[in-house]
Amino acid sequence: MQPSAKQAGLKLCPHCHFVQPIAEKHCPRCSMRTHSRIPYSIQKTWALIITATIALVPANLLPITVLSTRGAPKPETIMSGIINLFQSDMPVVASVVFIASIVVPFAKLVGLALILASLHMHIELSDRQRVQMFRFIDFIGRWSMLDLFVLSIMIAVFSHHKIIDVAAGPGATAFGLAVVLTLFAAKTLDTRLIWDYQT
Amino acid sequence: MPQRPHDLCICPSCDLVISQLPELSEGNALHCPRCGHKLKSSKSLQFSETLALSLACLITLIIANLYPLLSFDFLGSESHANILEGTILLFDNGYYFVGGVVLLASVVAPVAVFSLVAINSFLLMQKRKTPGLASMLHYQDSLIHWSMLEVFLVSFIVSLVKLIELSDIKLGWGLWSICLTIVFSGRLLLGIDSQRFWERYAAIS
Repeated sequence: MQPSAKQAGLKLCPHCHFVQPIAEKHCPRCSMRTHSRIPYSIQKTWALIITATIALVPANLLPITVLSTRGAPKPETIMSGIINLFQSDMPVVASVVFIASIVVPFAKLVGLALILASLHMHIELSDRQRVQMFRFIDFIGRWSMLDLFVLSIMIAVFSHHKIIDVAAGPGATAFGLAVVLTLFAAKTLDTRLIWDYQT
Repeated sequence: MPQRPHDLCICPSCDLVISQLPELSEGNALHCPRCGHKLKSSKSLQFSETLALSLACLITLIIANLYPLLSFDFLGSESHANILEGTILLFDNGYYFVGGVVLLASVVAPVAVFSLVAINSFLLMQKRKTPGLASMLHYQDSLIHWSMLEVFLVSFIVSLVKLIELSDIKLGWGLWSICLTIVFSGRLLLGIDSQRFWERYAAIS
């Protein structure tokens, strides 16, 4: 087994990447608090994943947009909006929204949970596979912001319109919360633990 | 230990100790042998380059916020939209959280990151150390993840496809300007090396 810095009594400043003895509390170069591993990384990540999963329920059940034509409000959830796009012959856009708003958040939560679970129990995944999965999750996470940007743009476009009005629905807050929580979850997961738990 | 600790390289992603990094040849990048994390890239930019790119990003982003992204005529009433308008309306309707996140990712974080990169590059290039420099470098590193202009552009294209069948749409200067910002910031984010910033910071203290 190759040596980790922790075993060699060293650690890396997570901010400025300065190598220092593990006993150091604050980084000698940038004076930030440093830790060999993110403290309570597994607990914090589980907590964020569970909260995000709960937030995804209202995010998918409550309307995210309310489209009113001549004062008649028509609430739309994420899924009904995607189905509408499919029915109006826009399969490409519908797929983009589907991937960003449904696939990405779920894939992220399942992927992070799988990595965490693999630290507790024996799951047939190599270290390399796990870290690559994590990098992919980290990379795609920001794309779930897409639906909220679209919402904001549509609200702006129809802001002074006489007939059509677009407003946000309560699902938008829940969805935003889920997105932000998953972004934080990916931040608090310390990938170095994958090699620490190696047997 | 034969070497001083800070001459060693530690992989930030898997904590592997690498006693000596091989020389970096032109056009290549060095990856961690255990986890594949990119440790060093020869594409990393000089301070003068990050300064120039961040100023270009800042100018084009400010223009993008001043002019409408699109304008169109639909059922007798003309509309145009710019980046900030949607977030202001979200705030007006009590959606503070959604408005706040959208505002952060599309305006506040990009403006803050480009300004910080410009200021930090300038100060480090001039070898000047000001009291707030360390925290400005920290904010630069942490805010970079919250700048989501490329996601915003794709969102705009999605909105455009939804609108295009309703009426004729005129694309505004705001859109071309944000496209330029994304081109510049793409190069900036690809080549910015926070290690270089911190090494220079340590060298001038």
